[in-house]
Amino acid sequence: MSLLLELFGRLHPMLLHLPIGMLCALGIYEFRAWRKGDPPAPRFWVLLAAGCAAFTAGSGWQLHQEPGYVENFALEWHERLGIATGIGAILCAMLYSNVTRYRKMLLLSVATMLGAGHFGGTMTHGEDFIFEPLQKLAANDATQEPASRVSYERDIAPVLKAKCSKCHSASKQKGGLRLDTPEWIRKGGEDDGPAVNVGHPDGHPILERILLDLEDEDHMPPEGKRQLTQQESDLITEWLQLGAPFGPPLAAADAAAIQRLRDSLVHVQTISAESNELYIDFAATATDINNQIVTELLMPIKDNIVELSLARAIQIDDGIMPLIAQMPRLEILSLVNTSITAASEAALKEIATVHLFGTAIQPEQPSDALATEILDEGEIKLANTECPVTGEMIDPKYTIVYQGEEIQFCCPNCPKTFWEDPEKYLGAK
Amino acid sequence: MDDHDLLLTRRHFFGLGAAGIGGLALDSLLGPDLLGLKDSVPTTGTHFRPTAKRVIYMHMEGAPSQLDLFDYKPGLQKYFNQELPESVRQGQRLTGMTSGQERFPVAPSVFKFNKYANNQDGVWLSELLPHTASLAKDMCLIRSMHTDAINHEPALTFFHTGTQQVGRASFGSWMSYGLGNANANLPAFVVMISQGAGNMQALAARMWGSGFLPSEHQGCKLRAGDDPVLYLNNPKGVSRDDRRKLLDLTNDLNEKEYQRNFDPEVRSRISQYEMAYRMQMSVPELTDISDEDDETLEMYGKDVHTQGSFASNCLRARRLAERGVRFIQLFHRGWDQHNNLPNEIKGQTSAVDRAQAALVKDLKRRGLLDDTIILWAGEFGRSVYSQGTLTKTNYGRDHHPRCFSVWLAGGGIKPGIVYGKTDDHSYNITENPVSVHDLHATMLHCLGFDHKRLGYFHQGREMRLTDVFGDVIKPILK
Ligand code: HEC
Repeated sequence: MSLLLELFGRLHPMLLHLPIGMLCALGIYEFRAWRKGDPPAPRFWVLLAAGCAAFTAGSGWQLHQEPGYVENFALEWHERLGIATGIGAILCAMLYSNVTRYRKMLLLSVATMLGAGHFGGTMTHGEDFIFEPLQKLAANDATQEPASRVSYERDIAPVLKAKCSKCHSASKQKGGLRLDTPEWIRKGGEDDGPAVNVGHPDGHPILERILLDLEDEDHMPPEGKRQLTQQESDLITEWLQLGAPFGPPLAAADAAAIQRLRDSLVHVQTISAESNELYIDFAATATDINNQIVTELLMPIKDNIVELSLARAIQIDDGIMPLIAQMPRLEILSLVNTSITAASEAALKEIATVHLFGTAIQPEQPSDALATEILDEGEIKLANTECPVTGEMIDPKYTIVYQGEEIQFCCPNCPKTFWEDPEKYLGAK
Repeated sequence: MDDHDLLLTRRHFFGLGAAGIGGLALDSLLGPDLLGLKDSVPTTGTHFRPTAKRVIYMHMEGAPSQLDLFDYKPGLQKYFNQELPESVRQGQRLTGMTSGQERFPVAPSVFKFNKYANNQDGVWLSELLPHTASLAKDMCLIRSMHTDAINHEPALTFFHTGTQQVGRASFGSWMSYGLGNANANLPAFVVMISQGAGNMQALAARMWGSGFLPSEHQGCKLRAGDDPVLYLNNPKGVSRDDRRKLLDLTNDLNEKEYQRNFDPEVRSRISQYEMAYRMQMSVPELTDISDEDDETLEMYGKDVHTQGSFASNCLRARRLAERGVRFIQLFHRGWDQHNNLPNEIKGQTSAVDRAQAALVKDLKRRGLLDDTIILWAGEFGRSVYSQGTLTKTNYGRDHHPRCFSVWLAGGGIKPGIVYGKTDDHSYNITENPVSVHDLHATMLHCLGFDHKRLGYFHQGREMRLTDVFGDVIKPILK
């Protein structure tokens, strides 16, 4: 019985189109009849519409009994108005004999049905489904002036909150996953591990799930739940391709300052096509630069620098530290063969990777000529490569087994000779 | 039609795209100051954040034997002098040098192997490479490389340009095109060659050519001796000032020529003249090793003092890496041991072992191994059966493309691992095959490129280093 009921529930998405069509048609028919003073539609059609509406409302109610539906505004009102439509349609049939009341009831039912349909659509297609093309138009206008890049705070967090937090936040953690703070997002869920692959353009479990077909059972948000709009999923895609940065978006470095660096033969490179973060290398002019030159050149773009090499710049010393301290994003710094001293050691600890070979801080590092541990040694144990009788090269065709060991000979005659006095020939070997 | 249109060259006509891209690439190489060009756009730029900024590629020309160096097969000893089973060879084509042989007797390696601790359960390496073995925890040994070619020339061309046919751009020139140089005073792609002890094959300059890419991306060969780059020094009686004036004038004329015909090669030429001018200063500084301390020189071994030796080239490679050069290619020749392998290979390994290990360690302590990919490879492997007479202590080995070993280190490659397996005869791959295209795709990935997107339009189609092949080998990435 419960199986049949379940089947009944699953018919809802198909059935629901019948009452919509019929009630609308009836509505139009009665409106026209009312204006012209014609009699109402034949009773048969009113009864049929009432039956379909009631059946649909019932199947919808049954579908909701299944687990996995998240209570939200759209679902709640879809259900209320749907049931109201069912009841309204039955009342229409009951009031048929009184034309005026019947027609008023019909008007009411069509109204509730339109409401129910709207919320139903919102549930499956998302809120902005209809007006999305218009929004795009507006967005295009706005992006004439390129907006700064996607920001987690501004663009991503609100989307995750709206579309995922029902199942992935403090209240509920489907799949062991929370998506409400950067920490939780990085921590990830039970199956996929970290939900984003920070610093990489691809390999983000979140994205894989979003991009799956709606029918796929791993698709997120699950089918039947409020979906991401195209715009939202584009935003998330762009953010993930940037490597899922959680910080505020970084503005491009000052072009004039970069020009000055290039004119001074300093290598300036964005760390990827999508990024405004910079890698700066003074390789070409290392021996000529000093604290002052570097400070003047880099100060205007200090926020953008993530990798910096001052290697071999012997005139660079602790005087460079005030500049270094002002680079919030600096991750990799090479001070190899500079004159930096232990005085700067503490300040340098702030940076993830610092290379200090050939400085006072790390004057020498043994080269460990042969420092690897040998775990095991192979041995060379050829059975016998020369015939024990003649000393010629063996031929594997002439092999005998003596005391459990294979012995090979050069020709068919030697084994005979060998058997005459094995000890003698083995000794010789 | 006006004069200008008539003067457009055929090259311009067929290479419209090239002019634009070549010009952009050039800007970044030269710095806009030299050409008076306004907006300097870097070369293609990386597609995502790279784990490596440069490559040092040590190519062992002639193809070293995986069986005697990397692919430990103790089980072979009991097959000594037995026929290579047909079930293993499966009718595979052989070179003309052994296809006429009556027998294909199995020749186990005469060299002892030791198992060294790495980041897995250890790696077996030959006694011939004691110093290299000390890199066990840094290196990623791939035992399952394979190639399509069976002779040196096509195999080298394949390894260096991604196809067996000549005419494509080499790996280094792709890097120069894609990344430019981190040092405006040196070329982005430098090549050094050392002569080995054994049988040497021809080594064509197109292995570091730029093919269809603008020619400033070709490798620059650094020679041994006092004149590392030919014709770089001013002739007697010409001062640097005179040279500058001459260049300014020539550049003016060339730039006029460019405005007339838009041939990107004209700009390549301007850029190469300018590069040469700056190299007059930067190259002597590069090759003068008097500022190296004794401990460092000692690491590389005494050959480091012999210009043109592999050890000397290794030290130069480190100096180049330090100075921001993108692609440093070392060739060590003489690995083609068709006979007398056990004796000749010793000469080869003793020339490279200490120096290559020193190079990796030297880079590591300077923090350069983090973002430098080291690749050590030959163009194919060698056969398990002996070419010529097999004796207890001597044998030769023929070419073998179906499996061979290469190793990588640094630059985002997973350290201390072994990837891929071969069968008991080191004849076929049994696990995780890696093609040359896969290797290229993986290295490009580390360098920040999606190999499918680093392309250049030529002869009516998009050209790529990996052509239409190649998969990134994710398991060997950090
Ligand atoms: C209606 C509830 C619901 C909504 C809304 C929802 N999810 Fe899920 N999500 C689940 C369930 C249930 C699972 C666990 C089952 C599974 O692994 O398929 C899950 C699992 C996941 C996982 C895998 C976690 C792991 O490691 O096991 C990811 C990633 C995910 N969801 C992302 C999202 C994103 C992004 C959104 C918003 C765009 C979202 N989900 C919205 C119910 C939901």
